[in-house]
Amino acid sequence: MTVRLDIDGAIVLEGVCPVEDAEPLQRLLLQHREAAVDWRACDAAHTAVLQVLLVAKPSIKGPARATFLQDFILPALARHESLTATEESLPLGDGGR
Amino acid sequence: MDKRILIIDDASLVRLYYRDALQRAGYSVDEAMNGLEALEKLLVTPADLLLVDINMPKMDGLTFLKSLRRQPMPLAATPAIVVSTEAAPQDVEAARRAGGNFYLVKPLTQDTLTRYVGLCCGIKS
Amino acid sequence: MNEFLKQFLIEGRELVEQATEDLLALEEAPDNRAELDNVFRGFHTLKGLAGIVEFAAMSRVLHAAEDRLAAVRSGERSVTGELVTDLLFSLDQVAQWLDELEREDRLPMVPDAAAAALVARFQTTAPETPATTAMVRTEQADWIEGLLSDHPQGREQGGVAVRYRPEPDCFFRHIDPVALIAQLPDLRAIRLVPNDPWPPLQELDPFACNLTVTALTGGTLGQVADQLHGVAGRVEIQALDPARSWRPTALSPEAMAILEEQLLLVSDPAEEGFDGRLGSAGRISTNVLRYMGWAAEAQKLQHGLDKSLALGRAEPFAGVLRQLLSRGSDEAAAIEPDKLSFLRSDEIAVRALRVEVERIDALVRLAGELTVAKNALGHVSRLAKEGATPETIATLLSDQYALLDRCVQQLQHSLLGIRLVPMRHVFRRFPKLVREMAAHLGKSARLVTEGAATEVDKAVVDALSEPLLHVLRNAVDHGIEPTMQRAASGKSAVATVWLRAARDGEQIVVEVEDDGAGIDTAELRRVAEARGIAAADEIAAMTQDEITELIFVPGLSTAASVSDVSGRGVGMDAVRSAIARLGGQVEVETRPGAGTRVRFRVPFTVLMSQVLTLEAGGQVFGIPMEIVVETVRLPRDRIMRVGAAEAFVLRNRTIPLINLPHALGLARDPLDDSYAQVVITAGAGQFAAFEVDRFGDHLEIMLKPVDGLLSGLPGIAGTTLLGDGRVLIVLDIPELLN
Repeated sequence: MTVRLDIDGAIVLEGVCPVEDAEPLQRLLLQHREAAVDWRACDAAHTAVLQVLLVAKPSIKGPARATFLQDFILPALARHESLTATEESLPLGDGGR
Repeated sequence: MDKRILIIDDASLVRLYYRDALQRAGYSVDEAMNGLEALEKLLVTPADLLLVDINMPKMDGLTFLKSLRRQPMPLAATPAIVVSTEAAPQDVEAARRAGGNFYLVKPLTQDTLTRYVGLCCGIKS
Repeated sequence: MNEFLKQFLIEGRELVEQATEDLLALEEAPDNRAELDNVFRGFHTLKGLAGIVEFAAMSRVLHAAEDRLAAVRSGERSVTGELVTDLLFSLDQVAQWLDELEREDRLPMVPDAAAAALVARFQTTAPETPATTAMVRTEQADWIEGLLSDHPQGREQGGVAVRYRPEPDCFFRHIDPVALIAQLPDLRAIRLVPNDPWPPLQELDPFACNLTVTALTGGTLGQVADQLHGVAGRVEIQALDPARSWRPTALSPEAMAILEEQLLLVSDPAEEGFDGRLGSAGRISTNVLRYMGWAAEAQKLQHGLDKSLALGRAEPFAGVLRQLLSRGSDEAAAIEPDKLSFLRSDEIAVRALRVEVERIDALVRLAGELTVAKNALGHVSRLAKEGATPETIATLLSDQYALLDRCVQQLQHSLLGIRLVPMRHVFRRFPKLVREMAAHLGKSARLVTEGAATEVDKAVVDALSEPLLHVLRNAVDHGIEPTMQRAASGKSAVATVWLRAARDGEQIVVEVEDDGAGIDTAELRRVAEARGIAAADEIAAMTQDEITELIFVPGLSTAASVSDVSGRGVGMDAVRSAIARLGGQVEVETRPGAGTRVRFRVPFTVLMSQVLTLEAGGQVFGIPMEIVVETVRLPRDRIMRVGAAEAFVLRNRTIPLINLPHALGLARDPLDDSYAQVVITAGAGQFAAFEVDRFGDHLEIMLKPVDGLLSGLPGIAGTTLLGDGRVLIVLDIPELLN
């Protein structure tokens, strides 16, 4: 199983996660809001899966097995978090923008 | 801009066409109907660039060029572009032999004309 | 060309191709020792070849490349994107020199400066001393700034920035955008940016792509463009100007042309007027240099001019000019376009047609001439209004007509020329393929190509690729015997396959010949009989040639075992129909024990046209799209009788309606009583509509003009072969209407 909930309550991404995994991942994240995503055995993840991670912003248990995920996607996820956070903190209806 | 072009061609339509393009680009333009008239004009007022047709009555373009290059300096060193309907290598070579600096083939667009005139006069329009 | 040069050309090309592949593999796996050795060996061998034929410039360049690779091998340097780019650049240069060798029949004469420039790439040089000209700086877009703020080293490194915005439904088309970007060479940074603000997780549609992916890579524009060509319409790529390196503007082609001409002028042994020629050449040259912003060089040239005038000789002016010209051509080679923005993916297909610059220039000149002719006609019309005499008008018009005629002919000729590509494009990958296929089967074979320079319409070249591959596979798989067997029958251990292309009038003849065992006609007879292709006595009565023709019967395979090289069957039926679609033929000749030759004859150019297919009277026809105005589903009560004919009114126009099956003498079969399927055509200022049974697809076809039986029938423009083997008749509507 490429995406599953393990006994410790973490959502595990294992092997190569195809586009179909996006839906189960989304469901699991909604059911277990505090769960961490463990990608230590993950070799690759489809963009759809990454998209879900971007929106859910769970904590990530790493390092990912795939260097690409670790070196490039992890920073993108981290930065992404701070981007949305910044936008949320701007007052609405700010005429100065 | 103070660059002066002399158009040497027996066809009034051609002279009109080039004059139109060059004046709009800011050059001062004069015309001559054949090589003889051109020499007469140049002896009075020098030009920065000549546009020379080959086939003209009284004195054709090549004869004009040979004569031009034998004049005293600095008149002899007047840059000249030959504009002709013929495009064969031997025609280009003949023009070079006679002393032409460059060769353009008719019909010439106004765009091409102004571009090459600009390069040869060092003027960006 | 002598034997050495011929061999040099062949081997050189193979080595360049191999080295390119190895280099790209090395880039993917920079720590792979074996790949590094491969690349080193490739350059080393190429250098050796250059030495044998005494091509000094090539030796020099390859030597410098080899030095760099040696440094990597010894651990002093590492494999960087920049090194790979430089090495690829030098291989490309070698490939160009080889092309020139083939064209000119002699080794290229490479100016010292050009070779030196190439060598310099491999040495760490200090940045060039700035000329007194403007720096070329591109403005970085916001998204690039964003990437650079994540990865500040990018400012010095340069490289390429990519922005990829896939369509929201891309997941359904098996596209994984991040994976595509992950494959880019030398990836340095990635950003994932949402296009629209994210909804809360429960409202997210996980299969709609809301991301734009931006990335920084150390690859070249070419590499990135290649990698992303499949999604070209959604991608923007931009080369980054590394802060430390910039160049002054190159000399434009016109400027180069003028300067070259001045050099010729002063070098011409003139009888008289030397001062005038030199003086005028000097004035023009310095003007051109100033125009291009090369002020310092203009000064230098002026000095040279003054000296030459004083001495009464072409030198040193000519020397300075010569130097400047070779620098000018180097600069031109070194400048890359600073932005490539893909608008539509079909533009990539256009880009893939490598057209010589001269052909494009010729077209540009023609476009210019057409504009002049147009303007002149405008002038004539003004003169006419102003009351010029008919004779004057007539003369001017006649002149302009002659000009236009010439232009149109040249245009047609040039356009045809552009579609032509050398067969080399198809041949290129085959030698390696043949060797590998043979090796895979435990055999030994090599491919010899002839006529790689033969020029053929691109559409034909593209269509020949598959069939040729098929036939080559067959030759290696079935035709060529295992090495032992060859030795036993006194043949050379290494089999030879020839791939030849030649122009024969309006056709191209392409042959694949092998010196293998030939087609086993006895076996073919047996199998044909067993499969019941024909009666036993018929088969017995067939001649060798007729039996050979049997290989075109689908599914007939005499191979004792189906190897994984060829797959099922011989596939010659597929080859034959592919060639027939092009309007060509296939012939096979075989000699038992000696070999087989398959020959394709195809037209060297094809007319492609768009047709709308339709059914009329139960038959399928095509009509050219260029005359189709629209198709309508017309209620029958709108059809009026006008005498013996029919018509209808559409948008205030009365359009005659013709029943196409009836017009073609086929049975009328109205499929729907309330509506008629109608196509409206336009031609010669008139409209005409045709009722048909139903409409089919738009197709792009190669139209074969009619000959033989069909040429007597009116109303037929041509035929083509559909994918399923049926013949499509394309109608000539204007002819039908008459």
